[in-house]
Amino acid sequence: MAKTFGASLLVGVGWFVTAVIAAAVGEWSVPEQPDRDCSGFGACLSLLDILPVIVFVAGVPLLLVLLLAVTAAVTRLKLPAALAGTLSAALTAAVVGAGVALYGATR
Amino acid sequence: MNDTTRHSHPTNDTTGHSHATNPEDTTRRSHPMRRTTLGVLFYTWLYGTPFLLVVALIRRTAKPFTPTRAEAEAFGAATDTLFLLAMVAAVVLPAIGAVIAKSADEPGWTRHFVGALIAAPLLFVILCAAGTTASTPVIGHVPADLEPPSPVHGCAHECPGG
Repeated sequence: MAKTFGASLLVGVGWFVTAVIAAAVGEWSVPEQPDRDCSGFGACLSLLDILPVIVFVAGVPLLLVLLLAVTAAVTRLKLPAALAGTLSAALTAAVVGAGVALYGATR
Repeated sequence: MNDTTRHSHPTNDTTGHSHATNPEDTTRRSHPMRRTTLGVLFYTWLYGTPFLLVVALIRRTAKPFTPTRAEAEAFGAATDTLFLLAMVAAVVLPAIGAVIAKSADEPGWTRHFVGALIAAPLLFVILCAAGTTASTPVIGHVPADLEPPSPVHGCAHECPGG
């Protein structure tokens, strides 16, 4: 059980790592205009620049929700690690996405 | 969880997929190697295809700086290649894995790859959903360039200067 739990958590974390690396590679592969007007604050910030901040801010809540989701998927549903981790990552993304949307709607 | 059985068959039961094993069966010798291959194949599929899809979708939605038409076409062609690669890998990798796992008598991995084949259409659903929000086709899109539109060849009525 403990082995499945660790593997499931690893699979779930792997999804977020994959997403971050894919976003970074995708942004990096897009050529930018060389002579842009960057005088305004944050005028030339790309996703690549703010990605470390996003990871830093979102990392802890994502991991916490992922931990709960993995616990539920492994102990209740008794799924194999790949499926449990993937479902947990999807659930975590949905929960955090809903949370962000709710926060945006209330303010 | 099973220390006594692990002691007698050190190569078995490392992934938790318990199945009836016969210690006299010599074909079971290469299991760790085979299992590693199947695991690498499975996780290449699990993470590789979404990776390609995300990279391709970011490129497709980006507004790249491609001054010449040739650069714009090369950028679009590379994005199309990533899309096609993701779609082919989504189906081909689990199919290969399922065949290998079946022939290697690995029921756990066979289930994994069959599940992967069932999940593969998700990728196509995501692509179709992305396609409905775009005004130009998802595949075959060429970003804008800074070159003036190519001059029209052939004159409507009669060409100036004869």
